[in-house]
Amino acid sequence: MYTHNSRISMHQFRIMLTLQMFNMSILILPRICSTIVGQDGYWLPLFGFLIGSIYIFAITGLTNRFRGKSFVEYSKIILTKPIGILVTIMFLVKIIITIGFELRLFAEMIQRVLLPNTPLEVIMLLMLFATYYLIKSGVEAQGRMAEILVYFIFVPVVIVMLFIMFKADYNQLLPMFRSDVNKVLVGSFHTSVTFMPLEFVLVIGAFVNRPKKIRRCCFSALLVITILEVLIIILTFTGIGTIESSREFWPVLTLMESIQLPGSFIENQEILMMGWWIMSVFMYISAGVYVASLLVSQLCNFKRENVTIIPVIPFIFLIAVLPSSLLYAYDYFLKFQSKVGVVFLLIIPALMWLIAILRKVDGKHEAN
Amino acid sequence: MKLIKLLFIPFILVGCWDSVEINNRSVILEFAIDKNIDTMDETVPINQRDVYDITYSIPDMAKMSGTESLAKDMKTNILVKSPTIATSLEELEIRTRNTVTFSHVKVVFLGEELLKDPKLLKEAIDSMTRTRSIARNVPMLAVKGKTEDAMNIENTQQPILGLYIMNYFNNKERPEAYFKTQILGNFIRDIQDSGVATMPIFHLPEGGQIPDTNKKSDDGAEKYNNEEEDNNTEDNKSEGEDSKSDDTVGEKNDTGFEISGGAVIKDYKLVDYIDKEIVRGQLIIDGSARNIPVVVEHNDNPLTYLAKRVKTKINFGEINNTMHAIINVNMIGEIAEYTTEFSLNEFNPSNMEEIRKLLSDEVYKQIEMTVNKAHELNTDFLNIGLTMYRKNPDMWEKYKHNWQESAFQNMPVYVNIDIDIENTGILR
Repeated sequence: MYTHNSRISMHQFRIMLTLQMFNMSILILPRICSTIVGQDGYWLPLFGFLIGSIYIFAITGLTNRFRGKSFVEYSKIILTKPIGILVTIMFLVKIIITIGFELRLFAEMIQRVLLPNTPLEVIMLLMLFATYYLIKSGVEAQGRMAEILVYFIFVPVVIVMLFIMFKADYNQLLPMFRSDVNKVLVGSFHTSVTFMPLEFVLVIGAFVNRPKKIRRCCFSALLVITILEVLIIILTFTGIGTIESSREFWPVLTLMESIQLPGSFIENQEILMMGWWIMSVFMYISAGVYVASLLVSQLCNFKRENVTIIPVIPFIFLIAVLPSSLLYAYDYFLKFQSKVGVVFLLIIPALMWLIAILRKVDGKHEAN
Repeated sequence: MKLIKLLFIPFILVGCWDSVEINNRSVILEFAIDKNIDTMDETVPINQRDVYDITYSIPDMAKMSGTESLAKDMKTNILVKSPTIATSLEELEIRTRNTVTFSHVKVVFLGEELLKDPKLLKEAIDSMTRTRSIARNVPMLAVKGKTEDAMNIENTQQPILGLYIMNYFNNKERPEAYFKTQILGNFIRDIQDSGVATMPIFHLPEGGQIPDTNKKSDDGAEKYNNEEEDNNTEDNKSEGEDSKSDDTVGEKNDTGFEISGGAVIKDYKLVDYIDKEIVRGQLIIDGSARNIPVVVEHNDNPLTYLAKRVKTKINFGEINNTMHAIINVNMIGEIAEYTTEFSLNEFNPSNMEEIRKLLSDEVYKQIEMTVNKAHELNTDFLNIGLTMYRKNPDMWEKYKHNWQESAFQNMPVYVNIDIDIENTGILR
């Protein structure tokens, strides 16, 4: 047991990362894939895995060089203090915006499926306060929560997927390999951006008990999510068709709605399935709020890390309420992800790693 | 301070806004949409033209569960005329004590006139799916006539038609031999994939009219109840004529309706109805047929073969730049009925070969009839074009531009049938 030492085990780290990547992006991924390449869309996560591997190498290459140090610390070491602070602030702003949009989409989905009359603001605030309660106890609480929730989330998902698999019409996936290579590359990039929670490793990587194994854990989490994405896209295409997938906001939600359980003794089963999804999105938002608050507290050199959680929440809430409707929220979310998503997944980590190598700085040898 | 916080928390709990008393909700179990065939005043703007006739069936839950209730009948049918489906809810809810929910709709009926109007049908489908009001796994039925007549049928087996239909379709033991099930999600997918879909026909009873009264209220909405009337009737439902005549008779009809055959829809418009024999051929070509009886004459006796399952594969070829399709059917089943003499060993290998040939010929006739019908309608409800697109996309590129005009209609279709007789029952 690692009580009150701000350390999480590799098992916890792997599960946290897997749950964080299993978020709202998965619900809209079939739409993105079918819009770009039609029925070949289920291949995109596999190519996205290759791109995601590059992200992992860039991120873990940097974190391995500065084991035990947080992003704020080693960005100052590599880039000098002023630039390091600037990059940290950019990272902070990026996370706040991403989590804000994710929260908005989550609230919109909840309103559509579960609570049509409840104001969006109430749903969002309740989610934020729930995440506050989890993350005020530090990263260990998140690790333990992830270990519990993983069974509640993935076991029902796998059961439902197995159920759909046996009745699916796989002819919907034909013909194969008719897409343009350029479109496949574009689609693979968009799919790889769904692995955005990998950037949290830049910060949370400092809290693992065996930093050498971070890369392996990242790969295993990425593999699990890739397989899930492929299966979900296949089942969505076979369940509701590729054309309908490209029309719907949340094709996976429509797929869940179209399932016919035997006997009809359970109806509106998509509500039950959304309950499991809520837990996964909760983990992602928790991680985002935690990382953002941690960056603020380390920038300001606060001794206690959890004092900055409450100040961060209003900013996330403001971003979440900014779009005037689902249409705008959806549009902003996709554009932000595609344009800015890769910055702290690949560009900044790779640049910082390169600069660290050129300047010959690492966790043991800081530059003078 | 802590106490105040604790007391304050319930006010922000989300259940406050969305809590609904179950008793304040009416659960719509069947949903019937039709086109209003009354003469429209073209000068009225579109958003005020009552183009829809929607019949809502509101069950009384207390009566359904067998408890005491003040309601007169187990269900109340309310006909609403409106310009859109969403506005019909407004009309409905000013006439009911409860609000309505569609979360448990068991069946959607579409009237004949609605099916003939592609624009209106498309609007109806969009309305049902855009707001997720009706689940995508709800069966759809085409009514050969007016949907309000279907809703007013008295069924002694199960008075609530929606529950009857739910049990009907959920029964997995039922053979797939006389209609092809269609659910809302698959209908949308089929139309998007190929432009063609079929849905089972709900045939209204013939000979006895539906017992109903047609009372027009001052504000134009019509309310139907299930009381008998001592009026004469004429059977005009199958032609889709207005059945709301004042001289209806009160002859009750129990289970006079049937679900069989199919309505062929192309680009959201009804092309034609096909009977259950044609649908049987469609199911065989689809490979989804199950427990189909095939009857042939053998030695002056009828022989019934029950096809338990069918495997079908469609291949394509080109001879002298003319494409053709080959349907390979493998039918697996058993002999269910045949009168044999004690002394004779009827089912010996040479006889079996002859029986297989007879069965094969009979199945061939069935499929040929279906293919001819598809050619006659020039509508590919057999999804041969879709199969070509999926399995031979290069060939599809050559023929897709005129598939709907002439390519499908002129395409020769060859059929190979292989009959497997697993057993002859427990008798030789």
